[in-house]
Amino acid sequence: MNSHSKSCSAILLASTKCIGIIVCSFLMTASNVRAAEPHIRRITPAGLSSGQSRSISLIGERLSDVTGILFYDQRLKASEFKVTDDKNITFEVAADPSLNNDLYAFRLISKTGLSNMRLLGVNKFPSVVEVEPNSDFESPQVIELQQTIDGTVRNEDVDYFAVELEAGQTLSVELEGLRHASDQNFFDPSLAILDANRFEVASNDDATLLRQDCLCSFQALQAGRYIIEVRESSYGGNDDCLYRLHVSNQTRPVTMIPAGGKPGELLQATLIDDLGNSWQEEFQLPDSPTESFSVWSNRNGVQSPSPNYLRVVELENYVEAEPNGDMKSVAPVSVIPAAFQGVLQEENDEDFFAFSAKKDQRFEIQSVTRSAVRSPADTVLNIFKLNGNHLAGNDDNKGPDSFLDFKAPEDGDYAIRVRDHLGRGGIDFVYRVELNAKSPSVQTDIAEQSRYQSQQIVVPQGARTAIEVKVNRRNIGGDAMVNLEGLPAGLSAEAVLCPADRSSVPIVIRSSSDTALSATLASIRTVITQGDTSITGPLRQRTQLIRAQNNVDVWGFDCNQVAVAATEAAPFDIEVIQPGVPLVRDGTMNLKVKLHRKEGFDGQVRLRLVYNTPGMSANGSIRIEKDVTETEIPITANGNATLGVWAMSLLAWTSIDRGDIKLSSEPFTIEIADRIFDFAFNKAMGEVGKPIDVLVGVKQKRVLEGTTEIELVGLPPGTTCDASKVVFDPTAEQVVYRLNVPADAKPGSFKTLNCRGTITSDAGVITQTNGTGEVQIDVPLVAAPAAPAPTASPEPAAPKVLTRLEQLRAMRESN
Amino acid sequence: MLQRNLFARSAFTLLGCLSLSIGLSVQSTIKAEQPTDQGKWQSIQIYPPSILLTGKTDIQHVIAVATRSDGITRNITDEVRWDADADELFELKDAVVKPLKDGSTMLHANWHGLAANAKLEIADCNSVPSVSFVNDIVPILTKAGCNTGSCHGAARGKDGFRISLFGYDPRGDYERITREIGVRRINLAIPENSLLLLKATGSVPHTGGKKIEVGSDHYQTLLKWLVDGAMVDTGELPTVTKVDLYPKQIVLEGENQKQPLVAVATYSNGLTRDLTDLATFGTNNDRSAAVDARGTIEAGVRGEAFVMARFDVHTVGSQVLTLPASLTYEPITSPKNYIDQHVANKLGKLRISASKLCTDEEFLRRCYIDIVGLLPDPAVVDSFLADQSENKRSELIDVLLSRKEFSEIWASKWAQILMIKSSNDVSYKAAFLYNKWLTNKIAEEVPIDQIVQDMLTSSGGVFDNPATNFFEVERDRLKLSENTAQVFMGIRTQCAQCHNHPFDRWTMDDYYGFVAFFAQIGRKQGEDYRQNVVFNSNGGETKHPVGDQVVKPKFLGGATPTVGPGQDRREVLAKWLTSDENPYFSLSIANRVWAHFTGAGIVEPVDDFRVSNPASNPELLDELAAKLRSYKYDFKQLVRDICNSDTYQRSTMPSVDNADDLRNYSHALPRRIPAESLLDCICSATNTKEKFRGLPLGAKATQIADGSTSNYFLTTFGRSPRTTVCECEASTDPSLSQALHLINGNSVSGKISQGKLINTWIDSGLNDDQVIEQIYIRCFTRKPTADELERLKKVVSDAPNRVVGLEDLFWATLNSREFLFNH
Repeated sequence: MNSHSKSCSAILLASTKCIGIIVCSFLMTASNVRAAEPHIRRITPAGLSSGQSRSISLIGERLSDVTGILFYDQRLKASEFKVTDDKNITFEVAADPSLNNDLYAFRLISKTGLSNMRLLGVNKFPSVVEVEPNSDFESPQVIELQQTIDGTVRNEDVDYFAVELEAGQTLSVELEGLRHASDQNFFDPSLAILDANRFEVASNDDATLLRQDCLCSFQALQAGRYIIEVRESSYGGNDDCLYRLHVSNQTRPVTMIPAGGKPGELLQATLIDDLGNSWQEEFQLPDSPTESFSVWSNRNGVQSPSPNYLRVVELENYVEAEPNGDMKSVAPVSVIPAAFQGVLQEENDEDFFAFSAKKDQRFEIQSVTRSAVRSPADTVLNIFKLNGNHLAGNDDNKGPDSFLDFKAPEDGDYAIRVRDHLGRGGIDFVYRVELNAKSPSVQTDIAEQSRYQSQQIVVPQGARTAIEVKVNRRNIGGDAMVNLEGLPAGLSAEAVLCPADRSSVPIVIRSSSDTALSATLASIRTVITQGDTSITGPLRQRTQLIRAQNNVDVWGFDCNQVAVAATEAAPFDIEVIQPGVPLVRDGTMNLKVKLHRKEGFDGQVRLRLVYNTPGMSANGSIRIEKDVTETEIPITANGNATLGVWAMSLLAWTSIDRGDIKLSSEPFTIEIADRIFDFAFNKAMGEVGKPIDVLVGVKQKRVLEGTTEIELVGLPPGTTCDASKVVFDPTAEQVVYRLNVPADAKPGSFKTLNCRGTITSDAGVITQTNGTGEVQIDVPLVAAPAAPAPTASPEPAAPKVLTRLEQLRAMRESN
Repeated sequence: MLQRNLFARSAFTLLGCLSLSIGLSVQSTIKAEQPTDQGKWQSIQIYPPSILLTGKTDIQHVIAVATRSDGITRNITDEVRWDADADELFELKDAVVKPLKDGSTMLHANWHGLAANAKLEIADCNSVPSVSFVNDIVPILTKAGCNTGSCHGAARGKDGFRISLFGYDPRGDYERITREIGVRRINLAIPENSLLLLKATGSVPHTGGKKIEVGSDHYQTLLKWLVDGAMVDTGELPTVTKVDLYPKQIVLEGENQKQPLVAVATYSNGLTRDLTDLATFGTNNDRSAAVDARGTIEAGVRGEAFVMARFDVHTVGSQVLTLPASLTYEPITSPKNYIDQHVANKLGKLRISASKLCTDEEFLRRCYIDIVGLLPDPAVVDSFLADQSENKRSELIDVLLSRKEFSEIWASKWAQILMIKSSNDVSYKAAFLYNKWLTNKIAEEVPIDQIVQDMLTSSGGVFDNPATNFFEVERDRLKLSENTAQVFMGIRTQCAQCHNHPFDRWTMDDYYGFVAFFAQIGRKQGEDYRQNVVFNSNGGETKHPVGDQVVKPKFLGGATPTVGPGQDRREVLAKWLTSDENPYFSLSIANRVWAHFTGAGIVEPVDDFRVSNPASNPELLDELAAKLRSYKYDFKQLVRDICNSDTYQRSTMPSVDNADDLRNYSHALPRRIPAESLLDCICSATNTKEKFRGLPLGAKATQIADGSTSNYFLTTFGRSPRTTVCECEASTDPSLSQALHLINGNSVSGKISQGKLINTWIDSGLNDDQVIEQIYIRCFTRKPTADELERLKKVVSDAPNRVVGLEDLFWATLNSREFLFNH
């Protein structure tokens, strides 16, 4: 995972008053322009100072009907919107002084939807804008310590900043670059500190704590001018490569130990900076478990430019006590589950921890060293019988981190060995390994309706939309009740049940016709109850901010809330006629759809189901063209489609000014039922010029109301059947079709025959199609001699039609 | 255990020998007339210097060679008087020693008052050894050419019969001869009728014709093996540990002079073998020294040749110089340093005079281009020429060596052979960081051996530790080992992947033993998806394709080290590779450095150290390598030695008798400036900046990190595409495209207008003479001669206007050979 969860408590659209102002602003400037799906490409500058307000410009697409900003932290407020045109807007942002140095997510709110997510930096240092030209080492931009510089690395650009240092003074520089990029603009910055003679005194490309962003510090031995060099790591860059450079006289911690604690605990931690210095600080941990909890060092009153992360879980904390480089020197800990922490101090350092377990006791042993703590250590875990054999090991089951599902083979003591995969070590090589019993958990995610775009909930007035909520159960089964909470006034959604045998469920969110335009963040609470046990799980949604080559997820934002917006009414509505009959395995069905156009709307509307059930598929590219109001969507179920009644909804959208307005139908159900017919094909043979009888064994497994017909399809080329569709008596066992084979029919073996069974009733048509039957058409070996003139005789009774097998048996008996 | 069957000769030969040798003693012969230059002959030698005969059938050819005070050698085998302390032990006839009795004695040669001795030992004189397939039959097949690539040694054999190339798989050969297609190829009932013999002697139709004479020694040996039942070898066989070829150095005066060679193999059991009839002899210069199948050299035109003998997996050679009779030359009398001394020695042997030293202007330009890849600024030219101090050349060298461009030039050269290039496996960032790492290491004067060790033992992410890209640019372990050998040792082992090297010592065992060092390299994806992590996986083996057995790591040309479990094999390799135990590392580096400054490696190509491709001046190369080692691989000091030598500072103008010399450094070689430096020189001459992908404006071409970054100019002028480790990838060969690009392309005319130098000069009030002088100084590092100036002024005055005339002149200057070449 490439980002940290944010506990995004409630949202905030600045305030109600603020919204009013924003909307008003929009109405005055662009009242005749409509757009949807606003998109932010560039934010200039990329942040501001806490306790201050700053004018921010946005460049993007479809911005003309933007009405406000949905900040994921209510301590940021926006005002004074100016929509210049479809691609440019400016506004004033005020950052509350209580905001910590961090990145804060936001989306634009428009009348028709929500924009992509972007991050705004907030830092306690005063902000200074980069002034070009500063690409010459000899003429750098002079800056002060304790400043944040907002700059841009253009193509093959190098920016130089000069600071004056006294002897012994520390310079610590952190660069936010990657963290401000988005889309597929992979900005990988590089940082160096040079002395006046161009010699590098410190440099950094990728800091593990900051991923591709960088951090470097040094202590000046001599007073003088020092130059900070900023560039893309391989001289790339473009106008969208914005950065914020934090220049400080205080180093920041790159890691801390212990790397986590229990909820509610006041944690005393040792912090270690990138120069190898360490000091102590206390952190109040939250009351609820948090995978990666942000904390800030306040060394000498200077807050770190960005947070460090602590793991907050209900585990007993154990910090290594040297010597522990040998199994023999460690004793089992007194309490498990437990979290083991330590530092791989030197090259090839190995640390051991011991615990006791009963036979067949199962544990999940995982390192959260990189994922949660962002330590440079690439841990390898090995489990031994204490002072005995090696039992299991893992390096990278969870990315660079290790994971083991361990079952104790016998009662006794066991040892966990922790080491770095490359045998590296250092004061910052902190690790945290958690030994936990397997415990149940549930969390949800929302399926993306556009690839790589985290799903938002946008509901037009008087209509509805549908999302597919994925329910991820771990070590637990059973029905899950999924509840969407925190919707703004006017929007509603009913809690839905995700049955035990299903991993996703659709939720329909409705908007009344008088819902005010608004946006907020909602959450999803999922509850699984089994007997007396009830567990609750949150939403965990990841928004990919940077996708690299092959859509690799490089940087993103994890949140437990989803953005919701109530938007203007859509110019249409959609209705699905509830099917009256089931869709059977190997069957097809046409879903009838009605489009209700509002006056003046004659656009094309595209349709697709919110999801496909297992084994079912529906045409996802059906369109209702201009002036058409009805259509049918073909749906098929394969032979293994999962049976049951499935809640469903149909998504419909139209494009307005290059953006899409989307809504959904009222929910309906699709029942997937088992096959009704069993068809048995017998191979049929004959000669050109003569009719061939095709015998199909039919077994109707259930008797349903309506007319049953069995149709033979897939006839060989040139052949015909006078009665290819026959009404079938459910009690019968066989249908015989007579193929007319003309003299010029193509001889050969044709494995193309299929039978289509239909049951037509007032409720609808059930259709099932199966194959495959074979018919062989031969050319006669010798022309038949002229037959003697038949003598008049009474018409014999029609002989029984024999299958090919029966014909052969008859021949053998006659011989 | 001694194995007596080693030197089998057929029983038939044995009988013949016995009947002829009974009662004969050593023959003393003085056939030739007294030499006219007798007083100058200093010494004589007997080859081989010691003789060991084992068994009745063993023989040894002997030769005697006289050496004159000026190094001339002469074959006097037929002229010396042979003598021995115990002449009853052996028979010496027609320069062949045959055993008669067991014992030990000294063999003496006397010639005009000069004498030489050789020790002679005879053992097991009465035993007749049996024939070994591996040690007797396979060498005969090799000598006869049966197992060459054009005959049955081809991958698919020839005419339905396939044996291993040069006999690298004797077990397989035995199976094919004796078992394949039933027993068609041998007839143990009537051995003489074996197809093997009938084909070899041409008795039945044979595409290869007659290869062996009926009744010859080889025929008899083959027949005896068949008569004895075509037995397979059992037990541990002795292996050839070395082959000696005598004399080591031959200097023949006058055409048609002859000199027989003596080749002796030494086996692991201590026995020796005369290879006159078994070794394959060859020469790399037929015109100067042809050699026949029995190893007799005949002098041809003046020149230098390397005559080699190949037997088993060993190839050894002797240096042969052929000179016209009564040649005079002017020796170097005051060599400046050890380089000049060795060059003087070699030129003395060849009787080649050296050219005089180059001018200050030539030196300044040459040094700048060679050391920093740029042209000197006009101000530097003025001050250097005005400087009258004696040490100004040395001082200039020191100044240039301290510039960062020196490290960039060498980083660029190493980047070529290390194939630093972005690809599907190596991201641009990785390539960029790899190049930066290399440049920084050289700039920080980290010794080359340390840099190589860092690369070979590197672990970690390709961004975190860019040296690990060494293992990313080539992931195939076979190619990786080949590249390592070629880049750091100058050895090409590619042939030995499929068969023992035909012209060198490398066997498949050597090849796969070396590959085994790279068998345990692990790779995994890093957290950054672009970053692979390279590490020692502690697992993985290499198997020999012949026999499918695991091969232990073995140093190329060295020992089989003990590698403990879990120990990084790469560390073991890196330590040995850069140690004094491995002679090739320092030789290879020294040779590459030398070639950069002189235009020709002492071993050329610089990455093809091979027995059959000897150094043109081995003593010089050895000392350069020794100096490099003594400098702790600070190659900057070696560059200082080279640039300060008279050899480097000689003029490119040849003298009367050294014009043909391209390998002995009697004069400097004019060299086309390499593509990157040439573009940088054009930019500096025209005061313009070039733009390359991924680098800021004005970056130099030598700073290009990624091999896939290029432009039309660089590609046309032979920039290395970095697709292989071969030094030859960077080409300075001329082409029509180059000429057309200089004439019509924007690299010259575009830059002249872009740089606006002509206008600047005119605006600053310079007259035509002064502008022309500026152009000359910028491009040629010299002022025009009066004659040139006169003619050029006319060109300017004939032009439509002054600016056009001067620009045309600038253009012509940049198009001249004097500009394009470092001279």
